[in-house]
Amino acid sequence: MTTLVWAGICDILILGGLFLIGTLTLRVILRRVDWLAAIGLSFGLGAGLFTWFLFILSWAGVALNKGTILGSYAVILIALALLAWRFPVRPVEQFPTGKSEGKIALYTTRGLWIVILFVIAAVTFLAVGLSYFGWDDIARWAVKGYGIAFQGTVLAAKDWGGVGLSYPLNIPILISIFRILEGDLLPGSKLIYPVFYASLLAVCYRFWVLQGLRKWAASLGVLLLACTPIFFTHASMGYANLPFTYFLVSGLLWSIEGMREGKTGKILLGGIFFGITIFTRPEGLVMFLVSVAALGIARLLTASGRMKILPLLLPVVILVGPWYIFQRLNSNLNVEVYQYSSLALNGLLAGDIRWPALYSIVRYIAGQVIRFRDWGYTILLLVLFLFAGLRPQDLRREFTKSTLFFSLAGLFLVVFGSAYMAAYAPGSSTFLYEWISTTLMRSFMPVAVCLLLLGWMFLQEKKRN
Amino acid sequence: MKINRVLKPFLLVITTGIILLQLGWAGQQFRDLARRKVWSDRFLDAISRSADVAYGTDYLAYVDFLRKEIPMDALVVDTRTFGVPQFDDNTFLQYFLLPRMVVGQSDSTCPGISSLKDCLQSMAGPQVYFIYGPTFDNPSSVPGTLKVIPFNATMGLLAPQDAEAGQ
Repeated sequence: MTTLVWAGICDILILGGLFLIGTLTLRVILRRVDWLAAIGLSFGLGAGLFTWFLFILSWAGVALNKGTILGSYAVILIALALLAWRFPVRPVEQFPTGKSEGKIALYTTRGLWIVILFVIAAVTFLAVGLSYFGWDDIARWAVKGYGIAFQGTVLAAKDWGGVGLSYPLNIPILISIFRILEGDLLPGSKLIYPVFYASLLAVCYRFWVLQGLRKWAASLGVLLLACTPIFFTHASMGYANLPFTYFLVSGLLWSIEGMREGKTGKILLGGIFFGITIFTRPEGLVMFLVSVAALGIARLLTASGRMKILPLLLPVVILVGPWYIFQRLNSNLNVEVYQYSSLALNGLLAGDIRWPALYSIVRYIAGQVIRFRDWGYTILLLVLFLFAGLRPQDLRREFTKSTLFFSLAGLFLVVFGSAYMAAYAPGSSTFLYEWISTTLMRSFMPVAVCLLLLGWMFLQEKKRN
Repeated sequence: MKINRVLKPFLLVITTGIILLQLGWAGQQFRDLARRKVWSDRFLDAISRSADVAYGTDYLAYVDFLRKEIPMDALVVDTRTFGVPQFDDNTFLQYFLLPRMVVGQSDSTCPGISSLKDCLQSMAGPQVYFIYGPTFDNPSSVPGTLKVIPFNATMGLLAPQDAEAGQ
């Protein structure tokens, strides 16, 4: 029992340590940060950058063990603290409070946040209590993390767990930190999923309040997201889809904010989050390109905002370049999606369109949207909000709405297209159903969050663009 | 704008209803999992809890059996004779048997040897353990240096004759 308590304390220290370097990085990049941005971004930023640093270190031949992890953490912490200290001290930016709200609205907001905190506590309890239990939790992510910890090198991910080095190593390295430092006895590494979940909620809340929604309305949107079955379930599972969604959405929202305000620091932050997104799941690169395209289209249509390419792309190249080089040098990409994409491309170029497969996918998606199990009734509700709130002229006038709309459309097509590719696999009809029933709905998580962010803006009270 | 004035309260009422419904579902999920799994498994370590939550008590018993019988530094060969992925996929089993290395028996494991039992014979060694399932025909017929440690009538382990227990 004492060992478990000690492990729990270590886990909280690890999470706190990652949060701290994230906060310092935010301070260095933005120079002043509002508290809600710090809550929503610090852990993800700290964890993503630290795992990337450990990846580089390990690739350079340094063994990953307690000494090297704590040592490299200390070096990063001191460097960031010195950098943050060198900048002129500015007061913490006040978070915009919006219109003054009456007592009822205030109590409603507080009540909603109490419920949201209960939900977060519940998923945290389940995450640790249930340990790793999904297929990919075990065979893809946790076992790779444990293998890295056991052998002290990121190359272990090639032999431990499925798909070799075809999947990026952000989450496995994060898990390995817990395994190396305290044995992952609880398992403490499962705590990262509720933290990513809470961070996603904070990022969405901040975005809506900045967009002029009243706090109670923003809180209601957060609660809707929190209790949507697939998000609630994934907050206590060990799949990478929820962290991936968090990184992608954070990257998108901060790029929007940075471009709208013409602030390089915010765009740079968005670029860093996009880089971590690609370092989290294989589809990250395509989804990043779609997001950049959406930003570009919205910029052209609305003629507002400043598209600064360098701060957006440079962090992505720096963070992702080494990973792809490492992957090419050490792995034969054996993940199914790479194989099917070339088969599908050849098929499409030859005019071979699989109509029955298209019909199956559309029918499956429609079925899932009206069934409660994955999405509750959230998607149906949001479609109503979208039809009620979004006008065609918004796409030409409002940069934020326009970007979210084109991101939503683009990401939907990416997920749909990845399912359709399975139609070209050998033994396609059985395989297609297996493929879409196991991967499709969780791949839709970023699409659903974009839909929620955009649809919920129907409750916007004042225009900020 | 007039439409919105009517539509907003209407949509908010629907939203509240949907949130309450989904919160009810979440609460039920929480109560069910907390009572049926988290509380009942509270004395188990993280790996055993994974086994129980993933595939139930039978799977947990099998994983416990393997962890007990196979030494930490052993190489485990999965003969893939179970017919279900949670037993036949070595990448999945690897998690439960860590730090033991688990490999799956395949055509490439024993090039040029068509019989599974001959393949096992060729791979046998002092730290090599083979796990077998229901479609593995008569494990006791494997000659030579391997002994059978049964888990039940159809599943078990082929271990070196001088095998020591695991954890």
